[in-house]
Amino acid sequence: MRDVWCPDMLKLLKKCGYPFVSLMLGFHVFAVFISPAAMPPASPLLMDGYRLALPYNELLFLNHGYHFFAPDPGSSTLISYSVPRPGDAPVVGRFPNLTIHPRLLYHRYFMLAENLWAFDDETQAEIQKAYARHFSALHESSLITLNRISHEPSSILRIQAGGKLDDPETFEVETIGAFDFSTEASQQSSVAQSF
Amino acid sequence: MLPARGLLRFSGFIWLRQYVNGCLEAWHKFWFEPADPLMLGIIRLLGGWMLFYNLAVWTLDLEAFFGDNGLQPLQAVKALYVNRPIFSFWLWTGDQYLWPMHIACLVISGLFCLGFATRITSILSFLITISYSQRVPIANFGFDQILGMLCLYLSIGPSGAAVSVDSLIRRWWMRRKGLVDAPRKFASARVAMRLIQLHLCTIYFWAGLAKLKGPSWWTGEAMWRVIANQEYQTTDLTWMAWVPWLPFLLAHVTIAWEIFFSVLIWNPRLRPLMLLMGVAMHVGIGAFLGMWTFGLIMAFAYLAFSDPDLGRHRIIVLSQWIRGRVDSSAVPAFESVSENSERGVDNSTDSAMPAMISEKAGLLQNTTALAATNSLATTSTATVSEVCVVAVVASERSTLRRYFRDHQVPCRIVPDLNSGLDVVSRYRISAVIINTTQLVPASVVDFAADVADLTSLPILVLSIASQQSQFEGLGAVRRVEVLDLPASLRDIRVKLQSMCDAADSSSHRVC
Repeated sequence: MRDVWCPDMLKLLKKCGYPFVSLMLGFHVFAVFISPAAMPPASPLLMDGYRLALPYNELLFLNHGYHFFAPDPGSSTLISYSVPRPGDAPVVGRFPNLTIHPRLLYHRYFMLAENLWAFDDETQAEIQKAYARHFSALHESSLITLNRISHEPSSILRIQAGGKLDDPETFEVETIGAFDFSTEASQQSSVAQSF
Repeated sequence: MLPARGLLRFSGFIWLRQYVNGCLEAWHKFWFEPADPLMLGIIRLLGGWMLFYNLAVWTLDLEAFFGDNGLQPLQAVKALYVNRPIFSFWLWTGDQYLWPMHIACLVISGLFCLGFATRITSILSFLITISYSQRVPIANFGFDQILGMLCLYLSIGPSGAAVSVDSLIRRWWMRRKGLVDAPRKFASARVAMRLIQLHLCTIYFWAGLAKLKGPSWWTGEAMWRVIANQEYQTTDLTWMAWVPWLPFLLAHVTIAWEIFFSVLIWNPRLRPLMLLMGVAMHVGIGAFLGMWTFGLIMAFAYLAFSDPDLGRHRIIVLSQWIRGRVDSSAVPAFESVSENSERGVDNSTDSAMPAMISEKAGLLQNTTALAATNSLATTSTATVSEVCVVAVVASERSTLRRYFRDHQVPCRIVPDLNSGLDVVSRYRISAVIINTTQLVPASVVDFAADVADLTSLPILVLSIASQQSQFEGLGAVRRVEVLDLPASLRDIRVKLQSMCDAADSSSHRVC
């Protein structure tokens, strides 16, 4: 029985399959192309096309802008922390730092500091708290202070004038906040206080 | 008047129909022309290695990144994905499954890299790649995007059909059953390669255009700002401050290369240059910015632009060179048999052919020498007619080559059918001999049909008697004869002679 209908079925599938596969390929290429095209500033037409392909792109992890070092390579961002110790100097650290190996892991930490600011405020606050919790636990403390450091690349003129890439003037420090994890209740207040 | 208008309409319709048919044909050829999966296999091997390495690196800090209360808490990430069709199995698993799942993923990615059960492991590897990336969105960078892209296309194409454990198992299984295995071509391999190519074009096109949104890429300062970024750099390049034109030039060349890549890469003459520039750029990113993983994965994707047939040919030459058995026959269509071509040929290779073709009845020289002479006599050009011999097994090529060489008969001996077709189409060949050992019968039939379409050459197919039924399709092809193996060279000579005679009488083409 199977032998009888199988060739017909295959023919039918081939007939339907070819246009379907062709359409899918066309749509896929469109989806891949439209995703970076709709990075702002973008026309409403591009945005409509982007929204059309968005579910597909998100499902297949194709929703990317591919804006490597664009539009302008800016300053890099680091996060430093300070863990107070009773009767002793505070433990200080920052990430990324060059002691992190291998380099891929270093880049993961670098991205933690670099990419965070692209998310909404609520997510930022929650992730900052997670960073604080992680590093305070690492140093067995319930108190920690986080800072955001922007490191501006030195200009050609500065280097020609004898400057270095790690000149203190190229760093700009901004306090994110102090976090207290001694009690769950105090976390909220500490976060609120930190801002 | 009316008929003239009707004629115009009719001719317009014909033109439109031809145009549409041409477009459809071009579409079909672009996307679905069967391709050798070799390059896909190599991309799988290299991409799979990158995936495995990526997961191995995650192992070093797994709980910090993927723990429920780690650096990116599960609830916070889930909140980002509300009402979005995001797939990541990490979103549904808790801390208790963290290590078992991770180890399973490492094993699967290792199997994918080696090409074991690739149809399954390729799909699982894609799901693993996107699951890890979607779980830690803040820790992602370009490497994850490209790895996800490659894994997607490797799961679509037959990435396990070459350079894989699967292919070794298949070869072993076919040998055990007395069948022969030969390189196969797949439409899905073409689809996957095209998707990688188009995706790369898209990436570079938009990367280039996006840079034009920033003034620093216009002023040329951007490249300096990348170089002078201490968090990226692994090598101090501040000496460029005293040759500022260099970073400026690099910035302009980068933009021009990225924007025009999507166009110029399709030009066969410019393709090597474009790819070379790309490799230089990505190696530079790896060497000076420390992003080896990103640089390498991009460079690996370039393999999609290389010619798989040429790649296979080069791999054969390379592997033979490595084994110290450089065989000039593996360089088809580029050089004729020379005295030196036998140097280093290993005749100890396991093959049935030397036993099948007996050199003791060495009468073929009469036929082939006569063929060459006749050809010289009947053609106006000074090109010597040659016999094209297709034989996959090196020792068989060696046997035939030695025979022809000893009797001063020019020939071109090639290791695969594609090279044979290339030789037939590019050189004045008087006859074609195909030894079917390790060749897929359907491919032999297609090859014979192609040769018959191109020329009126006599084609002699040597096949084992037990497999003759698989060559029934050859009956429909002109001037093809099948000779049972084992056969002596006398048998081959007699057969070839009779075919040449027949060809001579039916047309003015002689062998």
